[in-house]
Amino acid sequence: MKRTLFIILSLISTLLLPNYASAAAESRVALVIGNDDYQNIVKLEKAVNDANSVAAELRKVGFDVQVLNNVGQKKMNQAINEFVQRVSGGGVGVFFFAGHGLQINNQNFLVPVDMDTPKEADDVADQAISVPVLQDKLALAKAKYTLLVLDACRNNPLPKKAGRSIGTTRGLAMTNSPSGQTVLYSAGANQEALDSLGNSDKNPNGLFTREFLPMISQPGVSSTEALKKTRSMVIQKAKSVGHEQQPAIYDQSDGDFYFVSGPASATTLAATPSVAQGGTTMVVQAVDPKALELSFWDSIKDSKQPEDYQDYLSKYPDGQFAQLAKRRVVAVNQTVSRSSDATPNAVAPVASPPTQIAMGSPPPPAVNTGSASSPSIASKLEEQGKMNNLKVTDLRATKQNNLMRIQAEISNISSGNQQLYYRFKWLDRDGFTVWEEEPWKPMIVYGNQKQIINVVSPTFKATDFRLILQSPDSTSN
Amino acid sequence: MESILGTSHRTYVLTSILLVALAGCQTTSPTTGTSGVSYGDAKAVETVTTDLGSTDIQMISEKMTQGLIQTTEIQTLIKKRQLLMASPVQNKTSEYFDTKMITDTVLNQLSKNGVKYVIEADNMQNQTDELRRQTQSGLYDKTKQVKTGKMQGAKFRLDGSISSIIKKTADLKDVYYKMNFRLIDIETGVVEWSDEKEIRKSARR
Repeated sequence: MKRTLFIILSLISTLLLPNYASAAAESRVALVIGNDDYQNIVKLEKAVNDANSVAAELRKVGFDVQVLNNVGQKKMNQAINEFVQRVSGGGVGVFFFAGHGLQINNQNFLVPVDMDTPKEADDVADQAISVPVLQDKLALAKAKYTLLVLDACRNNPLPKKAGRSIGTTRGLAMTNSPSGQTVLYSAGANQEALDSLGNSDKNPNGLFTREFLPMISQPGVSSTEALKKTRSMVIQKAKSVGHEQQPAIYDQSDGDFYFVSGPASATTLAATPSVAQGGTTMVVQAVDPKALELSFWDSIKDSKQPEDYQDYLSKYPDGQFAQLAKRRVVAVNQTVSRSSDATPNAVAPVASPPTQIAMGSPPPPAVNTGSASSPSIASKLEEQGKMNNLKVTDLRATKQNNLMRIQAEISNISSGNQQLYYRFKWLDRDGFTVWEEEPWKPMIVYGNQKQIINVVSPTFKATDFRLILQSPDSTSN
Repeated sequence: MESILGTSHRTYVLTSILLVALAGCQTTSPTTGTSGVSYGDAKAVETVTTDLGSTDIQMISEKMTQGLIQTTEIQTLIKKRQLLMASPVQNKTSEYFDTKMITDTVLNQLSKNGVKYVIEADNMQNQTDELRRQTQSGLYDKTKQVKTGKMQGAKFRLDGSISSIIKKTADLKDVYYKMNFRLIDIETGVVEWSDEKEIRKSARR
């Protein structure tokens, strides 16, 4: 028997935690909702079981869990508001939903048990729980870390007539939140997610949940690792019964979350200055020269070769580790083997590898987690000719209220003022333009200074963009 | 001296070759006419004079659309199919231009996002003419004619003004434009949203 499911795993991190080993000290709360008993649309069988199993696992790893089964809109909203209250101000929260879900106008909705059979798209918006709204609420609550697991129907549970006008065949829309996130669908677009592996399969949980459950209590496994493992297991098991189900991961998170911290956590997590300052809403990676320096330093910090430190000093004569590097040169030359404990306290927290945020070193490395790695800045830019004096040093994109917000930082590396002409091209997820050609806009960037371009997409349809840049100093190629 | 003459000669020869080449091109393009008229890019940055130009209008309307579409008022307006209307933008600058260009563009861009708007006062004559023709002339089939008393009023109103400050010296002209835009709840008169766009243009004389 099949239950059509989709799972979004959405990972919102408003702050990258330096070390989750101390996670036990902060409040860990979870809201788990399972809806089987739908009154007006197709009932489900395993959603309540899935929710209860997940709740039990989360309790084991120290979460204060609230479980709700077969709840209507009012109760869901109440519980969500309470949950937001509980995680606000630096808490750690996990939200799990199993039940029906719908996509309307690029927006995902979780369906409460008391929803009427909708006649129009607006009916769903009025009666169901909007995922973007939930995400916005969580972002506003300033939680330290929030993980959203939405395990909901990927098919359209509505009658055919309504279904055609309301749902789309593409399943749920990929959701963007104001913070970094990971999204995992239990099945790819137009695929059905399996509930069981055949008639003899008596497992009370759906395929995805049963693979995801054991990951929660494994020490040292980050949530993104857990997702990837779950995904490969689901693909494998579905294939074994001749079914195609490929959970899709969309990862746009910077940090990582550990249900149970283990030996791996201390080394893989890094808080770099740029992240600690709150620059976590990255979709496109930011180029941070400091972080570049950091990764350079990181690669040589245990070196026994004085040349390595001299290389560092020649490149960053006033760098943050310059003093340290000078001392290291002396120390290594004197063959005093104390380089391993010479790291002063002030440097120690930032000396771990900055793998969690992607730096724009040429070529920029892909984000470490997820199959869909974040695209680099260059892929979002269309320079007309090669700009000699102007560089895009930071590019961020988030989705708020279904509109894309873009912020680009333009740096002028020359000492004179530079003229820049720019415009955006708005694209949908298939790469088609969804807006008319924008007018070119002039901008002055002062010598040796940075200028920020801040825009909002003029249409709800935009899911991607290109920034087109032209400067009179450009050399054509 | 000789060398200078030599280069100018070469340039002359080159130009004539180029001219021939261009003339050759012209026959293949689907144009007619020999005057110096050409079509340009309507979206290009226009820097002909410091007077308010197409780029200014485009930048103003773009910023206003982006600002408006983010407001909860416009988003619920789209969802609940409420109506919007635009009052004429007041031109407080010393130049003449049609301010309707700004509101029209803003309304067009909003309407592409699902905003419904009603006609403004200066288009009312055409509307009432047609309504009267259908309902009062007696010429129309009763089943195919529209009814009076069904027109819908807007919930929100766009309003705005554009002002300028011009400074001149013997060799420099500096113009500062400021467009102010507001979204007003018609019933209460409360300004729900407002934003402005500043533009500075200077020219050496």
